[in-house]
Amino acid sequence: MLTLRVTPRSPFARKCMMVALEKGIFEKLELSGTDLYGENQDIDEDNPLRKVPALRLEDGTTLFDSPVICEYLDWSDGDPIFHPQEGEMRFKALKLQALGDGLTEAPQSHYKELARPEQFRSKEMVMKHANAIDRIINWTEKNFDLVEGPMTIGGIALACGLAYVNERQPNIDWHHKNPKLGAWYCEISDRESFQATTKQANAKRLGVSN
Amino acid sequence: MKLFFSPLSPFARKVRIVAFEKTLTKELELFKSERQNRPTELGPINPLLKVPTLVDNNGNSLFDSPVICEYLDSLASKPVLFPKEGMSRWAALRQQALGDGGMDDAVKLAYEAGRPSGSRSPYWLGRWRQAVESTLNALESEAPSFADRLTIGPIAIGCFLGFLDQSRIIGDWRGYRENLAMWFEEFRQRPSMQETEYKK
Repeated sequence: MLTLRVTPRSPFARKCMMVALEKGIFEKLELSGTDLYGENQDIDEDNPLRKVPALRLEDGTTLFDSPVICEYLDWSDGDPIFHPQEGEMRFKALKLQALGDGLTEAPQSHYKELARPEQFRSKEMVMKHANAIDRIINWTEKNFDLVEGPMTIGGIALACGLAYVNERQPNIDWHHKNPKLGAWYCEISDRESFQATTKQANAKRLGVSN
Repeated sequence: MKLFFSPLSPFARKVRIVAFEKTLTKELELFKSERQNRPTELGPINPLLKVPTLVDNNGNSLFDSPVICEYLDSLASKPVLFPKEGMSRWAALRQQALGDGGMDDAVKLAYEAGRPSGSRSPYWLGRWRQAVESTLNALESEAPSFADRLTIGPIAIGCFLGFLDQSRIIGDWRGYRENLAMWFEEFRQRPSMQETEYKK
C-alpha cells in the first residue's frame, strides 16, 4: 500500500490523485488527511518541508514534491502515460507542468498575503500576485501550442492550477477572455479524474469538512 | 543557448553547476537578469518571471530549474545526473526536492526578513525558519549517503547550504549537524561549486 498525504483542497495533491485515477491505480493509494496548520501537525514525518503531497512507499521511503510523486505513480504500473520518456515531447510536458504549478502558486501567495493581519500586509505584494495570475493565463492563451496535443502531466498541472484560480478568485473571468484555454478547460473538467478530485469530493472521501 | 540568471539565485546556480559538470559551460551564454527588467526580458518567454530561464538553440524557452537541469543532462552523456530509472532515480529526485524546497523556504524567509520593520510577520518568520531547520535536520540524518554518487540531489543540497552561508539568514546551521557540515566542506571544493560561488 502507498500512503499519500493530502489536504482536500491542495491542487498539488490533486495532480497526484488525478494521475492515480487515470492510471487505474487509485485503489492502491491510502489517502491520509493532513493537518498543516493546526495542533496535530505530523507531516514532517513524511516530508520535512511540511507540505502536501508526500508519498510513503511500502518500505517507508518517502517521496515529494508533486512532480516527483506524479512521475513515480506514472511509472509504477506499466509504461508511463503522462510523461513522454524523452526528447522534445518530454520537455514540452515538463515545461507546461512548471507553468501550471507556477499558476497554482499565484493565488496561493495572493491568499496568504491577504490573510495576514493588516499591519503586516503589503498592497504591493497583493497586487503582484494578482497580476501574476492574469499574466500567466494570458501568456498560456497566446502560447497555446504548448497546451495542445495529447494529455500530459503538463495538462494535468494546468487544469489543477486553473481550477484553483476559479476557487480562490471566482470573480476573474478568464474563460471568456481566453477562449482557447476556456474551451480546453471545459473539456478536461469533464474528465472523471477531475470531477472525482474536487475539494468537496476529497473532503467527503477523507470524512472531513471542507 | 542562453541562460537568464541572477548571481544570487540558488536555483540558477544549480543550473550553472550542472552545465559545468556536464562540460556544457561553453554552450551557455549567461544573461544577468535584474528583477526590474524581468517583465520585458522574461515576460515573452516565461510568464512566471523567474530565473533561471533557458532559451535553447531552437529559440524555445525552458523552465523551471529541475526541467532545465534535466534537459542539460540529456545533452551530454556523462556524468548521468538524473538516473534513468529505478530507486536511484527517485532517490535523486527526492534529494533535489529537499534541496530546492529548502532554498524556497530560505528565500521566503529572506524576503520576509527584508520587509520594512513593523510589517514583518512573526508567524511567517517562524514558520519559514522552522521549515528550513527541519529540512536541515532531515539532511543531517541522510548526509552519509550523499557522497555515494554525484546526482542532481547533492547538487541541489549544495546550492541550498551555500545559500544559507551566503545569506546568513538562519545564522550558523552547522552546529550539531556534523555529518552535513563534513560532507559540505568537501563538496564545496568541487570546481563546479567554486566557479559558481554566489556573488553580489
